[in-house]
Amino acid sequence: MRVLVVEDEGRLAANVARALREGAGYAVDVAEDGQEGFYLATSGEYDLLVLDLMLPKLDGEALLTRYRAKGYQTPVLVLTARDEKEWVVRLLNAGADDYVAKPFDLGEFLARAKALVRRGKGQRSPIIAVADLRFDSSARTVQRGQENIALTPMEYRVLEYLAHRRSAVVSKTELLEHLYDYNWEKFSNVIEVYISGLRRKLDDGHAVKLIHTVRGHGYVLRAERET
Amino acid sequence: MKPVSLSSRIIGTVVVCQLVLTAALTAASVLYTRAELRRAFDAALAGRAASTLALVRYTESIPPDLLFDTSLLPPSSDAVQKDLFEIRKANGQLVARSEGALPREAQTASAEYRDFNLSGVPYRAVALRDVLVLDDEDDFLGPRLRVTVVYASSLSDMRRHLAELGFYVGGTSLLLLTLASTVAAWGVRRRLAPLRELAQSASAISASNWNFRPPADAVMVSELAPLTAAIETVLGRLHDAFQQQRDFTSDAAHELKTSVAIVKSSLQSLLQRPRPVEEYRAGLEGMLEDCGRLEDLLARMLRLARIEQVAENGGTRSFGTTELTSTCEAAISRMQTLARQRNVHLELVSGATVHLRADPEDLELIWVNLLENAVQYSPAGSQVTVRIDRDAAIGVRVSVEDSGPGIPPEELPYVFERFHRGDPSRARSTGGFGLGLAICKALVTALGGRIEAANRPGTGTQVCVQLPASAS
Repeated sequence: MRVLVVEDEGRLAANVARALREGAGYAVDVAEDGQEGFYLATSGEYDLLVLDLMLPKLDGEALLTRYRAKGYQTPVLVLTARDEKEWVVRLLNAGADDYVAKPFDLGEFLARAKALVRRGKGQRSPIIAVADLRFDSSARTVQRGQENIALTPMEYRVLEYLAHRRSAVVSKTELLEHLYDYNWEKFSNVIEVYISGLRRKLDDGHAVKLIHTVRGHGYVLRAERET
Repeated sequence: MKPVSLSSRIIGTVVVCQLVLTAALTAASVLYTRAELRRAFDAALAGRAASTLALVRYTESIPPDLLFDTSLLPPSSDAVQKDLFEIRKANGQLVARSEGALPREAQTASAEYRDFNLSGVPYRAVALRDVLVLDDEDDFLGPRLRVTVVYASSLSDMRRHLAELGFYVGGTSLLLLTLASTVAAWGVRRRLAPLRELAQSASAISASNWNFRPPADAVMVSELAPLTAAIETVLGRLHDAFQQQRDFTSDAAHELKTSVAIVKSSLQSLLQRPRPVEEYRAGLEGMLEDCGRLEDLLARMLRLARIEQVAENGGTRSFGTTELTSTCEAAISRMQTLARQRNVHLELVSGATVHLRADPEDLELIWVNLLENAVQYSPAGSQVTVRIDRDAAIGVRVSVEDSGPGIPPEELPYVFERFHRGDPSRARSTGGFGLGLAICKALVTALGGRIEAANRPGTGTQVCVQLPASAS
């Protein structure tokens, strides 16, 4: 999952980004003003936008309105110092999906961010089950049957994305766009490595295979007995 | 004091005016009628005297004498107060008289008409003196005899008539007056209704509802137009002040909440998972800086609030005299570290020693804030100049000039507003809150001076402070 944080207060942006990386395993990009934020949001593939309102160059509300006017569906979580009722109503009506009022609790922020990401993928529950695979995005654990499976952070990210788009064929480009922040493009050739790692840890020794390659298209997570 | 009713006053004035008018009209009509009645009375009196005289006849005696034929006496003009008369010959001998005697004062009257009182009854007498008595027969050649007739009638009848007239005219007028006053009272109350409506719509205004719509009736009343306009003006000013206060609160809350959010999120992200000691140390050091910023923000906000409070209370602080140049030097030495970090040269150009009535700390704070701004916006290797000029008209002018990017013209009017930041991201990265220039303005205003910011031709900004100087 990839998140864009638009926040001009550098220290706050760093804290939020660190929480998203460490607490949810998301790739995080940071924009320091509204214009940069709008440019990044409309040029990259994001699963969540975290948006401050008081921004230089282009304020958060205007950014949000323009973003939604262009038809982008990515969930938006607003950080605001104002939590008066009218203001909240105005934000939600402008196309925000949720908000946290400063000074917010980082745990709550993270939970809301995860929930928005899930909902953006049409997924309500934090636990995704495919056959006997249990993927828990809140506890960040993976189980196959009764067995706990230890994944590397990157393997976890790949599985998380596939789980949220389960039964859909996910191209390598899509995976790359949603797993890395914009500094990480050079790692494009290692997706196969993570896929084979996941196959080994999840599917070896099981009759029902979960990770499949659709040749020429990409990958898919679904229960399928391989012949 | 007891409140005064405007409508009562208006109605009162109307009633008093009408009362005076009624009294004047009644008096005028009574006086006129009295004069007319008197003229008629006098004519009638003279007529009666003449017809009484006509009753005097000659006798056939030699020499002929005069005879009065009482049988033909006309009835008295007043049934109660009988008419009085006396007819005397030229030698004073009485020819005839009425039953009641005429008082002496009436007889000796020299004037033709004379008023007198007879036992409390007013009378008016006419005297026909030395009138020739004529006989019916024209061919009578006897000696001509002359008589004097004094005839008096009571005035009380006429007086009663006058009194009745006064009573009727006055009474009718008073009745009409009461009627007119009632109509006036009703009309005044009704016409004053727009005033009450205006008061009602004015009282509907509150902090949450600034919408003042003057009632249509009040707008159409020319006397209420200035009041309506005044209410609108005052409301506009109040609303602006209220809005400013609200903006300030909102901005201050935003700054404080953001600062607290930074500290809180730093702590929580540090606690998110176990970390090596160095990370904790780096995190704590960062948070110490965050706390320092928060402290600075609080200090500046409190300082600003205090200066403005003092200024609002009429600036009751009393100052000694302070030498201006030394405060600039102190400010420059305080800013030297930051200037060196950013490789900016600070220079003081002072042409005169000037003494001001001001707190040296206040002055120094003004220069420090201005220098801080100038240094932060200055490119490395440039110079910031503080210039002190005496100005005979103003007092003293201190300008701080930098070679930075200048201020966008559209932002010039707002640079001294609280929490204004030309470019928030840069201001934040330099640690500003948009309070420095607001503090400067508050201090300068409290000292009775002026502060202005302008772009220098070419590049850079000049902030100019004018202060009244004491004679030195």
